[in-house]
Amino acid sequence: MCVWCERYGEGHERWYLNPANYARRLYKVRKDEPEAAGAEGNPQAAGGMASMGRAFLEARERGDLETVERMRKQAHDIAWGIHFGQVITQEELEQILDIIYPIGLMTCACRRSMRGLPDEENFTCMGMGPGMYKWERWPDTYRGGVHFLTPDEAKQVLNTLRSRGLVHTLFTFGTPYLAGLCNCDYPDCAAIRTAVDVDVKVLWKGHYIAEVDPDLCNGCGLCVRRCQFKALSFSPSTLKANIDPLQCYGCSLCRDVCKPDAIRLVDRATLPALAEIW
Amino acid sequence: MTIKYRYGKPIPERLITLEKPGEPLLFDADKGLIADVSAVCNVKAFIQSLKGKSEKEAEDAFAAFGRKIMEMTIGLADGKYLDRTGEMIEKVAQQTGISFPHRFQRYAELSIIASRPLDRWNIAKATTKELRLQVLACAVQRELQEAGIELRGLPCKALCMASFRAAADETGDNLRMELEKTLPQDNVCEFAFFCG
Repeated sequence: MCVWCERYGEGHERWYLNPANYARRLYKVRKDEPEAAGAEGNPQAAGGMASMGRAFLEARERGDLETVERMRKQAHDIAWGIHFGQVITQEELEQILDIIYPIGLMTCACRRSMRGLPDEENFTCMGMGPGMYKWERWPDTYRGGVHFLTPDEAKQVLNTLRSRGLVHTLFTFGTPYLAGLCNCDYPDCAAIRTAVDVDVKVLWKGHYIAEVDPDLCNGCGLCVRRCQFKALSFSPSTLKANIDPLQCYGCSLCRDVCKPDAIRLVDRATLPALAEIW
Repeated sequence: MTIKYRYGKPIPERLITLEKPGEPLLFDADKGLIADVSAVCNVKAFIQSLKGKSEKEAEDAFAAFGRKIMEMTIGLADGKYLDRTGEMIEKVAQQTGISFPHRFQRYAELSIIASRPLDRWNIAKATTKELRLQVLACAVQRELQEAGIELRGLPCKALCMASFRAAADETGDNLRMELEKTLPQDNVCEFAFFCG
């Protein structure tokens, strides 16, 4: 069990299946001074990933491990308290769609900054929960506008994003409040990049790990291209797919394209060596 | 229902954009709502008026007081003190065709804020099928204790239930309402609302 399930699960199998983590009050009493523009809750200002800049990379480069560890801890402290994510499977996503409302389709802040995508090509991210009613508070975050979807419509959109090869992740906005349903890939996603490239855990691995059954694998290699975490490779000696369990985030994208059903998900908790590798 | 979504593209007929960029919007509850509702629906004075009433009379009075609070809240929240959160809740309900939980939750929250602004309460669950509201500290309970009024069977629940029923009538949500925990016994009044 991950620490978040222990702290915020309240008896649910996973912390992100606990409806309490999506529910919040709609109102507080208005203060006398003008309402804040929302800088304190702006996801672009909130994440620990923002601190993983030049100073961190230079410290890594010169082997200054003390500075690296200090900065990593700082980033974790910020992220885990305010804005961090975890990978979920398609099955979990479908359960979550039953307990979240409203659901807003919006532009992705990561792709905007990483790829410079114009808004009209960038509607790949979702916000959820009561905070979405206040989206106009953060006009830069919601640049391009927002569409509100029913759970069934959201499922259709998410299937399109998934078939394209995007990983479903959930993000907190003031932990444990979950309000971001992101659809991520490497290197567009700042959280995947920080986790995979510099081992700063702004994005946690999911509760599952993908396993290949070599007897069923036909060596087509389709799965290798789907992995956003550098966990999948193709073995030229066996002509089979190979999954590095230490790198696998359990998103199950590889399983989607496996025609012989050679890939299955295994609960991380059943694998002692990996149970605490997040 | 099938939605016309192509990867990354907006859905023109569904896209909501900023109406007046740069113009400040008011999302929180207006203090005027508290002042107006509290002036007419004063909890302390109401509790004092219960002295000498029978359990049944008190229960009826609680229900009438609850309805009055909600009717007044709805009138002001959708009129003089309409806020942007409320406007957006209505826009979203129109776009998705889903009313529950937030149209109802809005009125429930504002009625508590307006009549008992110092109460401590929380929303524990808010799905399209179920809403859970927990009241952890309640002015009605406190005033009853301070006035030395002892009523058996928590008749004050009639206040909350009548108030919430009036909100559900307004939103048109077909709700089943339960009081599953009570402050005297469980240190929390937990209201559950089931839709459909």
